[in-house]
Amino acid sequence: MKQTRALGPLKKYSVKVVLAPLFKIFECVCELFVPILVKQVIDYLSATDSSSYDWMEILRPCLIMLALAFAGFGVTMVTQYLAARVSADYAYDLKKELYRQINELSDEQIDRFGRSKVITLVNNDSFSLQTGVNMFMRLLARSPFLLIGSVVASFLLSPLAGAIVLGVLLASSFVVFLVMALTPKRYAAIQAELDHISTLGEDALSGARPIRAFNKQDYEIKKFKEASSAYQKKTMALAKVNAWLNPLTFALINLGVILVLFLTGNRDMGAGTAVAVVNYFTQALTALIMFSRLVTSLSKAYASKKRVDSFLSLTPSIMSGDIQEAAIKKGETIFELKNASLTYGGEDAALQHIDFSLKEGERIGVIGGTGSGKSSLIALLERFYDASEGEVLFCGKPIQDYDLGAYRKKIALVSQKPQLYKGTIRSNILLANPDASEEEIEAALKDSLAYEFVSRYEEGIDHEVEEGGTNFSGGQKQRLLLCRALLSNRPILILDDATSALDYKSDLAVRENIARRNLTLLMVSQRATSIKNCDRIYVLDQGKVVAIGKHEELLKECAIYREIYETQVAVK
Amino acid sequence: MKTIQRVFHYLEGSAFLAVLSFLFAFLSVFCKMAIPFLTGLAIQKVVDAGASGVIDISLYLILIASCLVAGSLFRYLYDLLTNYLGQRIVKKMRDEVYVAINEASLSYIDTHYHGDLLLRLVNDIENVQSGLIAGAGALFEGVVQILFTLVFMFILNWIMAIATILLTPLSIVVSRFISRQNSKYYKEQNAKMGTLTAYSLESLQNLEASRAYGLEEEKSAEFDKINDSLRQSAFKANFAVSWINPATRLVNNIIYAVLAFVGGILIVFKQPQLGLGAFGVGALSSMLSYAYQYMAPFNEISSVASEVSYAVASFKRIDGVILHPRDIDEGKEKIEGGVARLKVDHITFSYDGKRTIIDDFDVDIYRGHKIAFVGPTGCGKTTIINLMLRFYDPQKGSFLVNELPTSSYPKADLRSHIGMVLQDTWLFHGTIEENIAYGKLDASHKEVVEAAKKAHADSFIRQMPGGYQTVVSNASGLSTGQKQLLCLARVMLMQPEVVVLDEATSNIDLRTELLLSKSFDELMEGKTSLVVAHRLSTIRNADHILVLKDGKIIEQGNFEQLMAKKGFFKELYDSQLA
Repeated sequence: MKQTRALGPLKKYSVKVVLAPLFKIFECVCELFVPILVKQVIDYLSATDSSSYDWMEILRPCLIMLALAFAGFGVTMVTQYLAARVSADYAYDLKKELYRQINELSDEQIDRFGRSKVITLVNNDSFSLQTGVNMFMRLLARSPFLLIGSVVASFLLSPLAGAIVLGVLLASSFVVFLVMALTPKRYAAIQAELDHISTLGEDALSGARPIRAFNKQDYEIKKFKEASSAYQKKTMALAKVNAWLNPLTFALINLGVILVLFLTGNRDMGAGTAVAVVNYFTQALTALIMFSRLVTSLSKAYASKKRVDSFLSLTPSIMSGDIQEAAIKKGETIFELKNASLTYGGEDAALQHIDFSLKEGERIGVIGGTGSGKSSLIALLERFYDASEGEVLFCGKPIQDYDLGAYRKKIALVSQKPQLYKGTIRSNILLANPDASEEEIEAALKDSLAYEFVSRYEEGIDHEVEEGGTNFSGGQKQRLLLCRALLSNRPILILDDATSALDYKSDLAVRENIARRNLTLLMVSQRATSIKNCDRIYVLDQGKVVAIGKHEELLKECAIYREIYETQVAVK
Repeated sequence: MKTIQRVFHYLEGSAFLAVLSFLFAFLSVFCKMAIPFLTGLAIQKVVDAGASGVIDISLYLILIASCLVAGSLFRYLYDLLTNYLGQRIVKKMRDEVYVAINEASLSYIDTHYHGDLLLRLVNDIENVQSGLIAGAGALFEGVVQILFTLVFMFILNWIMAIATILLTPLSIVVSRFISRQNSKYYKEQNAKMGTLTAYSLESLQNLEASRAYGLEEEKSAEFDKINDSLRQSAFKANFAVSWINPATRLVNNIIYAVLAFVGGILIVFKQPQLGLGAFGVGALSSMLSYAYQYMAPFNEISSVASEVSYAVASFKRIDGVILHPRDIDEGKEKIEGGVARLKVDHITFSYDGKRTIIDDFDVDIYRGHKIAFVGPTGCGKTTIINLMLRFYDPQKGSFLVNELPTSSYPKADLRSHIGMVLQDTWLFHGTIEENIAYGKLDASHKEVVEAAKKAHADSFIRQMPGGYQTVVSNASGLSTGQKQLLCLARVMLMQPEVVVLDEATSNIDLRTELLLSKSFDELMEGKTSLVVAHRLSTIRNADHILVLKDGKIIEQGNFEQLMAKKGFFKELYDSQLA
């Protein structure tokens, strides 16, 4: 069992991750030399008698300063390059892992984790981890080194100066980290309020009609104003904390300046040293602020890491078995459910103790009301879910023993959800069989009655499909899905209410076309007329099988079935 | 300029605070920039005193201390005030946008992308906050800081000040170059991130299809391709950003070294005739402090400048929503004693002014009538409902309630008499219980359950993990049929005077629909009802059936009469029995 966690992909880059901060340190050393050079100039100018000045004594330190500036810049850009490279590569690897995990987890696991949260992992969390790695490589060495370097350099200039710099920096650090410790909770609160505002806005737009029809505009506006006030309050709570940061660090640093000047006035410190120490203050403060940014971005990255970990560490509940080849024999049982139940975690089970079978060549119908468990039955057969109780057999063996692809490859599913991909009609209907010939395509289009509208497009089957297939009507989408299933050339066809948006005439025509194709057929429908010619019909009600039989038998024996049929044909 | 006027509109009532905030910024920057100046004077005094003289710099220390106190205080007030001001304006704008959305006509809502309107309500307003409000503050602060720096520099030594000004283009060019690169690659990265997100979302929505047809590998390969292109942009964006600090330090250090040299030389070759007699070590140290901070405001300004331009664009988008004409609602009458008579009086209507949807529609409806509309898709059934509830107003003719046109009643009054279930089911983000109780906010839990039972929603609600307290939304995993049942429960609880059902059971299976018919009969007992249906069996017992085609009534009568006519209605009916 391979265990990948959020930071796993970073291992590949460990050399670069270690190397980058070393380059940074070189730049820091360059920078720390600058105040010392300035001190030299000042000392020279204040100590030497003005008649014997030598201007080379001034030019030399200044030229060294310039050289240090360029050298520091050049070397530090190597770090910046490495950091940008590694963080982008790392984010790539991480997203790849996430996508792989999405494909491996079961729907149930993804639903339990939350679909919107999964998307957040792919964009926000990966991004904050990318930023975290980037900042880590760029600043981890720089900030502490500059901070400590300033203190050490000041100590070298004068122990007293060193003590002041140390004291001021400790106090400033305390302020910075206090503010930082107080903010994350407030940020989270603001985000939650903003999410709430977004939800209310979404509802106001999608519910424009009902809100007006129920005369709830004023009520909704009141609700919104409360939400926007709450948001305002939460942002002010954050601002009140953040507003302390600038003035307090400013005050502390300048307190240090006053102390240094005071000592200089008492002749405990030279003027050149004073100027150098004031410079170190400014440098160290910048480093400190940078360091606090690093910590913020690392703590964000850490929160993301935890979320990513919790997703990547999920073990897929639907694991592929070992049997690679599933041989379907003529006339033999393909699917068998023995006493199978399925719960989604609610009070009542969606399927309760179902016995069911499907033989090669059979045509089976399943009928029942909303929430009777029809779609849950299909979920068991496709193994989107595992039965919470009982057994699901495929060709006589537990379905869990098969490689997922091995038996799914035998089933062409037309699901209730019209799942189309952005692309063209061609790319969508050829998903499962990219090599289909033009004749096959045309036959499938005609059998699914998609031909009549597809042929009207100028580009024919190269007509564009928008995201989610929003440029097609419900009936058109269903016909395309049907066409896709027929083109897949798989021996078992499962139709999950696949023609509900077609009018009755088209529905009939589609059924006749399918019947000619000699497939093993499982048809789930709300329409009794659609399934009445099936070899066997299962009548489901509230998750239980209440009757099994042929149309005529059920009409006689099953009250529920009779009711459904009669309301539909409306003959009494 | 118009934009600026509009921005000032939102500052109304906050003008004093805004001026105060600028004043605080001005003062805090002044104090901040005065300290290096005073420090320089103090150091000069020490140097001038020589090795043995008496030094008294207490005056300077007191002045620095006052600057310290005043500077921190003003800075604190400034930070707090800008935030307060910004949030006040944000709230005002948000509330106005939300009110505008709720008061807009439906044609406005229908013809705008919802995602886009939502973006204005959430993100655009955030942009305005960070760009226009915080940005304006930072811009002002930056400019003031540069000005003070130059002023103090001129006071200290005009030659060095001019040298600094001559070096300024270096700061400007570098900071503009960097911020341009930055925003270019940042946008590129964002766009690619958007593509990747959309792709992941699609994959997540189509998981079932992908599993059923074994598309996992193929889709992973496609994902990797997009991911790789994002990787390239992310690298560029990261690298572009990482220039800022090193480049700033480089420019600062260059200026620093040059000024140190120029200053040193000026002290070495004293030129009293240039008015620089007093220039000494102390002044040089002040100069160098200024030089060290010189580049920072330029960076700030150039990064803020691009934010301000986004913010202006965002502001225009927000203002567009707020300034949109509101829905017209001028009725003053009151519907007395309920809706006794409802008449459709020769209505003609078109959504776009070109294609007529309803053509001279005329019908009389009395209290207690059950009226049904049938006809093929696009015949105008739903439009009639839209017109009756005044979501849209007809070009010719009108609905009459108790002899008066509906436009003479306030919309709220009219709608309070009507309960409806529309074709597009709507659930708001909230618990199932809250959703059912939407039409009757004070309903008890028992009443809600009762209504859910009547709508045959109770059993599936109890299958859900949280039962009645399960949080749902329009996008949550409920099937359309289940959502319709919840919307029906809403109306069952409301018990309205006029019931409107627009394809209210289109996604509910026949058996459940049959079970529902008893509840419907109860609900509609003695009430006026309008039903739009495509399943003809459900409207057999209507008092009057109107058959529509292309916006016109082509047949009408009760079920038997229409069947006997052997016309369009019978044709429709027979096709359902095939």
